[in-house]
Amino acid sequence: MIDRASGCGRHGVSRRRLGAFSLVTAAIGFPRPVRASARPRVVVIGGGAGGATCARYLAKAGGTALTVSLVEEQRHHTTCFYSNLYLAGWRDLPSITHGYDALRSLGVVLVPKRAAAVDPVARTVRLEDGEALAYDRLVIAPGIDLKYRAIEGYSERAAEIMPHGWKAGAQTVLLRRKLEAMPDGGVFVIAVPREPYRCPPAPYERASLVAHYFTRAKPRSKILILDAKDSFSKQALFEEAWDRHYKGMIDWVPGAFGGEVSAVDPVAMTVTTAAGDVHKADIANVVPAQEAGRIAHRAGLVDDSGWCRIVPATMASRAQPDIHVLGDAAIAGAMPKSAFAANSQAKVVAMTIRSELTGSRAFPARYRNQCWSLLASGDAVKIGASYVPGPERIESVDRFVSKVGESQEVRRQTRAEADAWYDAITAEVFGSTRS
Amino acid sequence: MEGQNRRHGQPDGRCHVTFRLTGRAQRRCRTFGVVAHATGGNAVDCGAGIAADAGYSEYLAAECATFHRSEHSDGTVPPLGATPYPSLVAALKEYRSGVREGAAMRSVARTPGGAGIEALAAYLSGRP
Repeated sequence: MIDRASGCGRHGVSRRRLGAFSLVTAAIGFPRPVRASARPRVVVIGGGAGGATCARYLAKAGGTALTVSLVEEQRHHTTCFYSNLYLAGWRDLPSITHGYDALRSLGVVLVPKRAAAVDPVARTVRLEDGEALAYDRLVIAPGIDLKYRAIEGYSERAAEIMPHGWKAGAQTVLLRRKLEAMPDGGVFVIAVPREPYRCPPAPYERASLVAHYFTRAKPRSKILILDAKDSFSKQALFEEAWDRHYKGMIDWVPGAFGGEVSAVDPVAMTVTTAAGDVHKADIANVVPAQEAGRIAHRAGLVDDSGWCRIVPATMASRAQPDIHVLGDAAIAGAMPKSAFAANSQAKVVAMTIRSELTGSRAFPARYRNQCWSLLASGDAVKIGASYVPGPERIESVDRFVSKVGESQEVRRQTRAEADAWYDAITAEVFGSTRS
Repeated sequence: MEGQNRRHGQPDGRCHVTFRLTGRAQRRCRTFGVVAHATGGNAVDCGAGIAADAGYSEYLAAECATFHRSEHSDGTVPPLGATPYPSLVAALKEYRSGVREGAAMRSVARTPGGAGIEALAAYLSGRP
């Protein structure tokens, strides 16, 4: 792989030789559709864990055979994974924020604009300023949009008072500031939606790490999880940890006991459940139901569920065959919506597209997910599986999960693994951050 | 390339990969003309036909890179490329058989098959 990376210098030279076209468009904006392109064009929308990985692998392995563009309006990406560590005070924001310089140096053309529409017949992506990008293959990795309307009284504006913190960045910072400002003895309410949503164990990891912060800084405070569901990922492991580390601090109300939040009042700072119970909150962390990012809707890729159906072996859209959908926006069968899953799917998509456009060999799709949840200092658990494409959906094989009652040594090892994984996957997504 | 007219599941003898499950999870790896039997519905082993392809080793190695850095290991997670070929093959096969503890690595090592493990180990260890 090192050899290939060093070959990118040649790629860069070749790209510059591609000509005045690139230089001109750099000066005046971005390319209008060019039909007679010498090289097949791949456009990737979304620079998160899925999209950035896909662009990187296409550029890395595709060499000079493909033109790869990444449409991402943000110049930097703050990872949702590990943002709970920021809330706990264990990480600062720069340590979970990454740029795209390494992708650019691989030859990826960065388009720092918002994609406004897709014309699957003309095979163009229209940008917010009216410019258009032509593609031979399009990859859409838009992540999630929040369905504010699912909760009465909740809105993008209300989220400035009752943050969701489910897209890392300003919302995460806002939530941390509220935690710091909250008086000791306050109540931190987390509203959790039904599945599917981004990162199934994350609300419970968040409860654990906020509890960790409270035990140090505000030990009389309480955490109330109001859940639309009756069970959750790694439940026995979380409950064991809450009993061991944070006894009496965390209460979980399942859907069967009226836990689902149906309304909020950002002025009165109350959260109302389907059962009619009204809870006063010092901080309300309201995570609403979710759906595929907007551009997936505009491209006509979503079904009635709000997510995108895909072909299990290739992540190609069931609705538009020249478009691949990966990451949280896709209905990926047994795979959860996670950065690890998106990274894994991106490699399959990159391999498939290279095969289709350059004639390189394709191999049977292999997917993987592994997910760590941090519980306390030196205590973490993990879950994972391999996945294979079935005829209708992606199916899991060889699942594994940490066990209740594991030794402290095992948990310390798992906690250390999580940090090693963060370094590895962010290097996989954004390119090496170390020179 | 005229690639846009070629779609998945319409093999033209080139680069397509399709899975067909019949009976008890028999998977046909049509691309390479090799039939693989998935034991217990789990392992997918398309045999030496794929394993001989350097691209396949690179593809498998990409899966490892999500967790194993190629450099700068602090000792928690072994870096890629640091283990000699014989040790790496032995370790992966021991994970696969369950002789060696490690649920995550067992899950990883089960699916490529024996030939896939050897190809992957050769690629990672830089063996020519």
